[in-house]
Amino acid sequence: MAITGSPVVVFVTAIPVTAVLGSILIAAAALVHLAFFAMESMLWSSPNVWRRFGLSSQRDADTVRAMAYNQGFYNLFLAGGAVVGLVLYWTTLRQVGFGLIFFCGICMVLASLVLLTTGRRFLGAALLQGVLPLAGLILFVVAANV
Amino acid sequence: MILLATIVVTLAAALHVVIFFMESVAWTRPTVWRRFGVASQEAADTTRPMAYNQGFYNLFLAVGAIVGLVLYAVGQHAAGLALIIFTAASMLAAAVVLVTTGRGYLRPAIIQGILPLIGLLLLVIGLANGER
Repeated sequence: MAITGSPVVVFVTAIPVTAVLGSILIAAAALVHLAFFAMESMLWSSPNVWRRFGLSSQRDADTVRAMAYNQGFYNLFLAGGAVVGLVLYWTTLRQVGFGLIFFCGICMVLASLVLLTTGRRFLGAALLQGVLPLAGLILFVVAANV
Repeated sequence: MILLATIVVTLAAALHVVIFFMESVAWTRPTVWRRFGVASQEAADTTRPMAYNQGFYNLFLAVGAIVGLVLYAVGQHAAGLALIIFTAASMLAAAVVLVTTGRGYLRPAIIQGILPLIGLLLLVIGLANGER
């Protein structure tokens, strides 16, 4: 059968599975950071939200509110950068897209490590923030070296 | 123009390293937390973990800008530009967010935003004129 030589098959096999899986994980990491943005910058008034960030009273939550509002946007920027990177990677500018994905992914992983140094009670939040981008980046690096 | 832009972006990065130092390292000093609109020692202690975290986000933006400048300098123009534009735009957007936080944040917002704004404008003008 000559079908293995058809352009469609060549195109399909040219896409590395690792890059596809990496993209899914980076997209999921961006979604997590979008959720952080929503919680810190939009839903902060809810006690269910600020308790997740280690605060114990309404008074403390009000004190931290301005900074939480700001920090949420930093998470939004990282999510936006990662998504722009994914779009560039899969459309026109593969190298540029990889650069943006790598930078935003590393920032997310490092931010989760910083969170971990804040205290052990943040272990769950740090894992939620850091595992997806770390796994995604590893897959992208594997894809780049295949 | 692009040479000028790289100088201004370097200054913006240096400023964000200073912001990192204030938020994550020197937060206990009253002269530092007063600059961030915090009114009392108690409020500063409550805000401390989040200030510590946010300082690192500013450090990452500074490092990203510097890495972008280095990539651009060694000939990786597209990837370098993407990083410079992303980090400078993030700094500028963070400054705009600061304005919307409330009155009294205008001055720090201008301090944070003016350098990345000028850097981005110079970069765009330079690129539009065909500079590389």
